[in-house]
Amino acid sequence: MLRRLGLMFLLLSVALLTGGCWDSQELNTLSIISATSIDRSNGKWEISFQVVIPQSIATQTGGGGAGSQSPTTIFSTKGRSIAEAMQNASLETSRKLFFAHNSVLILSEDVARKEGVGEILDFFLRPFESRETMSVLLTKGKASNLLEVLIPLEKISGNAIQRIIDQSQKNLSQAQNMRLIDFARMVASPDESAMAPELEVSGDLTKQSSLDALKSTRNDAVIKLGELGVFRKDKLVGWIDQKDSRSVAWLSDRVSSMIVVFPCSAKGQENQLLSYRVLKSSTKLDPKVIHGKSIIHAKISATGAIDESGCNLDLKNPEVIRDLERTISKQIGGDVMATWSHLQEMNVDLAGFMNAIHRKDPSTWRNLMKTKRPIEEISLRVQVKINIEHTNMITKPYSSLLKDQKF
Amino acid sequence: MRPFFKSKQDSSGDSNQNHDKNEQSSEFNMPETPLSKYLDVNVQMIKEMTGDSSDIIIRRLDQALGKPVHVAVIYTDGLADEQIINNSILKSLTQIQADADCSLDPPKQVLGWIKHRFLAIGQVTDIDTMKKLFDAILAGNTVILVDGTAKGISASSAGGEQRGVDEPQSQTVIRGPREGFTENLRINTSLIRRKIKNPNLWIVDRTIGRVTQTNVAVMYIHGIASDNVVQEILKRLDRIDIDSVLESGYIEEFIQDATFTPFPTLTNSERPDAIAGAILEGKVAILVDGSPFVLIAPITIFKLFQSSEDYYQKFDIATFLRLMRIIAFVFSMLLPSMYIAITTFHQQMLPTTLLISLAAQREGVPFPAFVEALAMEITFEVLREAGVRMPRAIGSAISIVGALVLGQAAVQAGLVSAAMVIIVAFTAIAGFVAPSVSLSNSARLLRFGFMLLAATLGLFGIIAGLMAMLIHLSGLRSFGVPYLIPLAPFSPSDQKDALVRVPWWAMLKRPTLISQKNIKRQKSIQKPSPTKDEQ
Repeated sequence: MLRRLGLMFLLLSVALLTGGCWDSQELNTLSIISATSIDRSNGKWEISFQVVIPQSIATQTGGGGAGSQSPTTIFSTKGRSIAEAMQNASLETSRKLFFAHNSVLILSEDVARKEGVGEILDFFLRPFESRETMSVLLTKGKASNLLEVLIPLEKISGNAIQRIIDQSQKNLSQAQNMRLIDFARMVASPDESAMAPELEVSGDLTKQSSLDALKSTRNDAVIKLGELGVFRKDKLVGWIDQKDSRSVAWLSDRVSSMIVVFPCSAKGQENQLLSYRVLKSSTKLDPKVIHGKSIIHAKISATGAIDESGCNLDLKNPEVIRDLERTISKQIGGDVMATWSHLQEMNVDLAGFMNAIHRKDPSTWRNLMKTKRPIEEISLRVQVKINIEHTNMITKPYSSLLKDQKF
Repeated sequence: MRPFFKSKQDSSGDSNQNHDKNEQSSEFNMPETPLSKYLDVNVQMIKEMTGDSSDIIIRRLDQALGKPVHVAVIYTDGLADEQIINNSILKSLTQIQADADCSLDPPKQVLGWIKHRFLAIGQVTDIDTMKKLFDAILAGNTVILVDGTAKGISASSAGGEQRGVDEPQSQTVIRGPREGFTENLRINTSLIRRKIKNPNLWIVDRTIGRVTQTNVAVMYIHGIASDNVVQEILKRLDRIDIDSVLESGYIEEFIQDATFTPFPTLTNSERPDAIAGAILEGKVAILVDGSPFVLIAPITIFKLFQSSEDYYQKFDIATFLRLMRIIAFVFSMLLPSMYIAITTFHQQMLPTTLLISLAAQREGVPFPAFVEALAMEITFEVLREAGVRMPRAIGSAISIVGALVLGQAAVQAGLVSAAMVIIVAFTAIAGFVAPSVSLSNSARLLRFGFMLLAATLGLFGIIAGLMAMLIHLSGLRSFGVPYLIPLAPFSPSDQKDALVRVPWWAMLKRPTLISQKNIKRQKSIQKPSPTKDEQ
């Protein structure tokens, strides 16, 4: 019995000690990367990493207090391939690069337009450590600049950027958080065009990259979401503005919450504006073929509430409400159609129309795919149904109280 | 010096009868020599055999019952109750005048009068050998010898100073009886008997320990407890041949099913209500004289998570607490190893902010996470042991030293990370949740094994270790009962009192797999409901 136990113990310790520990890494031997950017310079890849400095972020630390150290540090490396550039990073960093917590990947317009994203996606999908949920973003200038901007309230700007996209997706339905895996899927899909939100720095970048910037109440520079980059195959082909991105959101059924501003319909108050908040919406695409021409019926329906009213209307009256609903519908319908003509010009399919046709009617889809610019062959009919559920806590506009006042 | 363990080797293992064994190991047993007819010889012999020990009191009377007859009253000072001896024995012998018809011849008759007419004592037995004489006086009884006869009588007078029934120290409850077992076997059996007033509550006595002659009582309910289990326990008890039994732990190690397991196959309790409950479930209690800890067998692992309070509180909170105990057990076993595994192998599993906060704490810590965890765990074990051994007066010092010096100062000095202190502290607290000390001890030992596995193989190692533990547990048996009952083998009706506790009116059956006999516990429809108005 004892001999058997001894043998088992010996075997176990040998197994553990020879095979064990080979990929263990202590937390203080890792440099945790929160954001990565990719640029091209002089025909080489230039990768920049935003590395978190844990001591300066956590308030309580073991060795040494949190000083006035910058929360992140950035270093850039170059190489002929992305992997080589990454490899070169070990020439200048004391710790192992740890990618599992990388939350954003920023590509410069230059890279996306000329090189395409194919090689980049391959590189980031390959390692087991890499997170497929990182957000893909574009920028018009140099991508590494974005990593340098300090964001007030947030210590790690990489995470903050991801949260900015999440916020705007939730509240504005404008920029969609494009996760790496979704982006890769869209790029590869024959029926869909990929898109990625643009991130821009407005203001004086050099001032905002110093810790001193956080000492003033107004920021010298801010990071904000801008337009939407549109891809054909794996290359960036153009940008669409914010108004168009909202219409794309309507068409692709991605609206979760949105404010629609529309003018007052009452006489003499045309300059006054009202705000309608979308609370719930759905879009159904119904592809049809009529006389050999593909038509997409987009049925947009939305439920929401009046958030603000500048003009003096009797909101208790159902007729008035119905009138407002019609105005909103007309405005959204018009916006969507305008966007549609832009998309047709660019020959990109952001709303998944080809996909809908492919599912419903594969033969039409095959015929369309044979044409040079299939998007232009499709015509769109939009039907918008808006429902104003309530007008929040007050019904009468406040301005109605001011109407008869003498003083 | 006589070899103490000599007879252990030559005693054959299957000697079932206790006295067989006693004969073989006769060095420390009283000889079966008969008493002498002469009082002087007997007294001399007693003095010789006890080395004239000062606590063996031999009171000689030249006249008893008003007759010229030599009588010796022998008892052990401290074990016998002086009050009884003075009032009921000596008073009877010295003050009562026997009638004239009581003749002195033969002297044997004198014993008969004393026994049948004059002694105001409940339990009186005849003795005729030195062994019986010593058994009697060492149990606290009083022996009366009369000159001229080779017989004597023993009157029960056990008493003396001992601890009273007190609140149990190790298993306290908020709701439930406050009494706990004492060191006295008879008081302990009475505490159980008081709860189960039924003639079917049987007690089987054994004497174990060649030198100590410790009484061991096996208690069970005849008709509920499985006969096989009772026979098996008695068989294992009879097999024990040891010089001394000072605590039930001695017995436990001899009769448990598996030695090389971190899990207890017998549990113990200081609470009479817990033991009574176990006996009513068909289990068998083993009481050892001199120990307030009563053994229960057979047990299952879920039994170890149950506190007697579970049955006194409402079922919902009892169920919740049971689940909490299981979670706490898992925490106390796995938390440090999970921390090691995740921070050294699987950093990607942590949320980013948590990872950064942990990384910040580890900045400047000179040791790998495993060494750090091991050092803190060992520190805690040392602190705990010191806290148990330390005299109560300086006990508060240990908490100051432990909490301030080792916790806060170690973090401030940068020797360990603050997170590790939290992990170790929570592990320690979780370990104290287990209602049974033996269970928390098993978690204490396994914790180190899991830490080693985590440090070498990460989460894979922990899972492998858990698998091995599960396999081990499913192979374990306690007196023939599988350890994982009622989960494996699965028994639907026993689920009512394993992980959860259903209300009492729904607990219709006793645990069926422990005893198959007399399993119905109560009438089936007793769910309380509002009384219907009679119309």
